[in-house]
Amino acid sequence: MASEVEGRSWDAVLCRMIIGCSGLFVPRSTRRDWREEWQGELEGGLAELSSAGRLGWKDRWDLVARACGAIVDAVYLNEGGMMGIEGLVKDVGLAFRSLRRRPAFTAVAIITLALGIGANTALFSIVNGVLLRPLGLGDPDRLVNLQGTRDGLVVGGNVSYPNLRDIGNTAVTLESVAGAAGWNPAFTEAGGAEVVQGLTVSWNYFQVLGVEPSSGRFFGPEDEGEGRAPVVVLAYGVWQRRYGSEESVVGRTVRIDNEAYRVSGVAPEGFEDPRGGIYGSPVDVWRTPDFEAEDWFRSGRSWKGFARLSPGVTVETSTEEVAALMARLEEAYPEENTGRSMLVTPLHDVIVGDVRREVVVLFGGVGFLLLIAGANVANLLLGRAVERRQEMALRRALGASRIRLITGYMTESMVLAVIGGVLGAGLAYLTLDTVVGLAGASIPRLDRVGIDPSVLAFTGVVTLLTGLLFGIAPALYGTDRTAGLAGGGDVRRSTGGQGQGRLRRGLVVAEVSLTVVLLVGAGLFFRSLRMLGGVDVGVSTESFVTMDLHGSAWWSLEPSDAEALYATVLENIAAVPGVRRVGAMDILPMADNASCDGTWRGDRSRPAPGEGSCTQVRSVLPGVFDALGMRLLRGRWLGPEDRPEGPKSALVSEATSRLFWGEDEDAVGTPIVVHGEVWEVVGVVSDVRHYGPGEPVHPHLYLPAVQEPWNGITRGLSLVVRAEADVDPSSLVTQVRDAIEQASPVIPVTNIRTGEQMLQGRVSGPRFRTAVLGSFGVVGLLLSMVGIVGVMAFSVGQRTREMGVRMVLGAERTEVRAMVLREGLVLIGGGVAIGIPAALAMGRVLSGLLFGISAADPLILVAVPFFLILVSLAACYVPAAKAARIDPMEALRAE
Amino acid sequence: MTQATALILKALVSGNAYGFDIMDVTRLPSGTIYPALRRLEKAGYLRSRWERQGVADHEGRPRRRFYELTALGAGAVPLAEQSLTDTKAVLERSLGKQPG
Repeated sequence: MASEVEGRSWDAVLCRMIIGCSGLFVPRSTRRDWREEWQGELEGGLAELSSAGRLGWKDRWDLVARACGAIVDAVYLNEGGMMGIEGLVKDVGLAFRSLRRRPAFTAVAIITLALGIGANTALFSIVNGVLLRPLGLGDPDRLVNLQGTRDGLVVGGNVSYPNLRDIGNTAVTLESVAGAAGWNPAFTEAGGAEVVQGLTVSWNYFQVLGVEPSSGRFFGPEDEGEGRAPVVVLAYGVWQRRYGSEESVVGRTVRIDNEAYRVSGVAPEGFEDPRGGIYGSPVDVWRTPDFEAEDWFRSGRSWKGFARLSPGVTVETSTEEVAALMARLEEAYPEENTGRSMLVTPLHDVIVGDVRREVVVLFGGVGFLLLIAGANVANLLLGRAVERRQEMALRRALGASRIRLITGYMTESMVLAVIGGVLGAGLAYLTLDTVVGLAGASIPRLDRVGIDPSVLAFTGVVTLLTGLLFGIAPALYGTDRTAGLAGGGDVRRSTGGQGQGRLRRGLVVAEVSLTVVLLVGAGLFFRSLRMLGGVDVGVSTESFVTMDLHGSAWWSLEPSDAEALYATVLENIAAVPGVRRVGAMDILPMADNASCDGTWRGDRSRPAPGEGSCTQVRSVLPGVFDALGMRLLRGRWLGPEDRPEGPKSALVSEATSRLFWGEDEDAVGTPIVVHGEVWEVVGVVSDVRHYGPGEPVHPHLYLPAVQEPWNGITRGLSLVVRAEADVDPSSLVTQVRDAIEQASPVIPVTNIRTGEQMLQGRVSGPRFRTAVLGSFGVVGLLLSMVGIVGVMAFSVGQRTREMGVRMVLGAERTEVRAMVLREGLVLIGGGVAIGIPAALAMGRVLSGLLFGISAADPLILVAVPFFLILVSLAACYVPAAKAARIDPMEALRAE
Repeated sequence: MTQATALILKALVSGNAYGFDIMDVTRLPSGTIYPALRRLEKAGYLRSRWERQGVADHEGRPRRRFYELTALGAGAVPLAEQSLTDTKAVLERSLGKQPG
């Protein structure tokens, strides 16, 4: 059964193609046995992998690599066909000479292949880095993620540490369970503060991930809990950068956030938190919690959980057990756990889950591009095969076997493919940084993308397959006795054979249809991006700059001193020429982090556990709304009148107002409860799309930072500095930093971005896929046009006499031109007729990546064929005009 | 005798095996194994036979071709072993000369 199931998989198909094509070189007498042996080996191998549950990409590639041995085997068996090294060298030399004689043909074929293979190499290096490259963790197939769910839905996926520990202590399907929570520390040693990315992790974090330290040791059970001696593990990069790779740093004390931590060990080179820390950037330092798990509040869900499955246990079995254990925890702690559970998912899926579809779509697109390029080259080779039939007839008459001639042809197509492949790899190498830069933060693990041996192996396989697949038809046609060679007649008179004409037209139709699919995809992404651009995110991003102030300067201050320091910072910045408004907020719109705090109306009773709503709560300093360009809809702004000791005031967003008060009631003047305290709603502000223009609006609640002494004013906030209308906001950065330094020289400033950069960061994914698929579409269009012009020009060349006769019989030049254009139009029409339904079928894959339009967008489905027909007619005009210029008497005399 | 030939003869000492089996044992690439098998079979050192169809059907895959040593092949095994031992000695000597 396994082989039946796997028979349709890509690797099985690829293996069969390799064996099928290689088999052509095996002597007919042994070919059947040879094919059966290779099929037995490969399908047997697949069946074994399948039954052992090892059908990962690596194993599949290994099988394909093994199948490539069939090519060598077939060459070895073809002794009579001069397939020895000597013959091969001779063939390669001949191929080079032959290609040199036709520089235009050679250049077009090589450029076409280089574009196709280069684009595939670049995209595969992304697929390889993002989806295929191992995580660098011990036995990664057993690593799973524990995602928190609420009423069956994954919202953020965070879990509470006590729940995580209880699951770890009781689950038998999980060998060990670990957790990690965000930590935003700064090295505060002599030589300047450095803000880094940190994680607070359970002591067994590294053991669960299966990594060994490069020096020192990782954490032990004694390093976690109340009263533990503060210890940290440094990332390899930090150890190199800050401590010059000194071994002696292990055991030494370093100062972080003005506290002394002993360095226990250094993580291995290349190790990164598998989920890119909490906020997506590499982690620099790890510490353990200084509290007992059971003392931590169970409703605080700020931990990412992951675990290692017990040997032999499947994800499904573990999911069932964890769900059952969570049900028990729900009974034991209804207040905190009602509706809460945990989902067990493979760690790798969680890391790449969101981008898998995007990467697969783009890789599919680049595959289409290669098919177009390959079809184009096959077309060129077919044209050349027709021209060379006389030469082949002569060689055959002199005793050359057909296999010998096929080998010559194939060597030529392989030489083209190899040169194209080498240039393509170079092209990919040169453009990869640009492609990766375009992707921005929209795709994880991009730092692992590069041209490595596995990418080069892929390029090698693609090159060989391209040469083989697209060279075989011209080789078979060019050496076929029945294709116009019989009788050794004058091939100039021949029309080139019906078969090759049909094949060439078929190839052009296929190219056009693939181009339609690419252009429709690119068009849909483009329109989707335009729709995103038109969405109001709730803040006017065009003229402000933001920066994060690290909390280390505030943590140790009393609230009144902290407020005074912020006041000085804001005053200094407001005095900078060109600054129109300045304010601060703890989590800015479109920042990487977010919050979700239980909220309810103060004039209603507290909702039952699991039935309440949460809002995104922000701590703000006055001025920030104006600086962000938000609008007040009702009531008043938060301002200097909201004092720490005064009545507690809150602003709600429109969505929050709708959620709690509906359309009819007014929220202003009513109480709302959050963070365990009652606040009076003083105003309603416009909504903000925190996760960017393509995402839904979440309810927000804004509280004065001064009225939240330990949650607001004594923490690091993010500044928003709006520039005057005629001032470039990024030009203010240096002066703003100076103004901050004047207020206090020990405030680390990080993450400086303009509003536009924040917005672009949120649309980098759609922009990336539009740019990539758009460029594929343009290249595909160019290649298709080259194909159409090539076929039409060839057809005109072959039919010079026919056209001459037509003109002698009274046909006008315009009629001849129209006839050629009509022929071109038939080919394009055929391609469009196949391409549009294919694009509609592909639309289902794209629909999840589109915003504001459907995959069957009528505008695109009409515009693309119209555009394509227009461009194709323009391209066909060149051969049509040439046909119309034929001198009828010359044409007839030529015969 | 080439190292590949020696390794393949050695791999077949314990009984019959199919191509991928030999590949797993010797770690040689498929493009080396198969031409070597053809050469050895032609020279009379190996013989091949097809697996029974019933066995393959039972496992849901096409049948495989098994190779085994002939008497001539078995006679060449000591030579293969000697060749491998010599190679190992040469390697150890040359590696031993490397600094560090």
